[in-house]
Amino acid sequence: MSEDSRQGMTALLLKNLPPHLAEWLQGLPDLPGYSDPLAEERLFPDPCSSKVSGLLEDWKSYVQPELAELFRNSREVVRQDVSRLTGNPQEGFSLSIPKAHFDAWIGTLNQCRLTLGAIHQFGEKDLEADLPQNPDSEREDALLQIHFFGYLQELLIKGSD
Amino acid sequence: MSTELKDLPSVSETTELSGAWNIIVHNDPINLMSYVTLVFRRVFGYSTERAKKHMLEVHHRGRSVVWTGEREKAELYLQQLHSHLLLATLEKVDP
Repeated sequence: MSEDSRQGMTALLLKNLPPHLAEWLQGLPDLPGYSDPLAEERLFPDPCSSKVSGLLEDWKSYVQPELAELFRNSREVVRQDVSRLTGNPQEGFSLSIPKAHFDAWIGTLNQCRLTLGAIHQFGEKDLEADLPQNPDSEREDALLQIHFFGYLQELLIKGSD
Repeated sequence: MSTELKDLPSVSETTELSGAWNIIVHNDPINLMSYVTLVFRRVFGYSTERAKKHMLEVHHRGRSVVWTGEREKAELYLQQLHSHLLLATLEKVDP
């Protein structure tokens, strides 16, 4: 993957993506893990202890469904953008992310990273360890995705400012 | 003419809603430091310096009280923080 270039701050262009990175990006909107109970617990954590009267019940009834819709809408924006991925396995793939979509991407990348983190129970030590060079398990693959998507998030956050 | 007494909220219910409330953000190793800082700036309108201060507090101490005030506003901020997938909770300030 070549260094990203910004087209006059109107978009983030990713070029020469190898097939497995393109595949990861295409998988962002529909990660099976989003419906995993561990992921749901992290994406929709309780906002308070049970001692705070009234909030918990109202939160689950009214706020949580709104959050779920917000997260779905972000993923839909990403879905539309990744559907425009171009290229081939030999020459690599390219993707342009319009600046207007940066927030949706930042949100979706976070959903994915947190989902993978929750399912595989990654802690600080896992994230600080050396990256697996030849991932041979789902867990190692997930860790690499978390790092790659984190890098992409950093680029988008910088571009948002 | 007839009168009807309406149920009034109990004293404990009214005091529960009054007073100051803390919003606490808890550490999550997955969330990027740059992201947490951005969220604090956007949600609360904090300067970069103040946002970073709270982010570093979350990172090093595990949590930070990022805002204190009335409950209604606190709940709105809480929703915004959750929409950005930060681990945030609400608790009453001890008198």
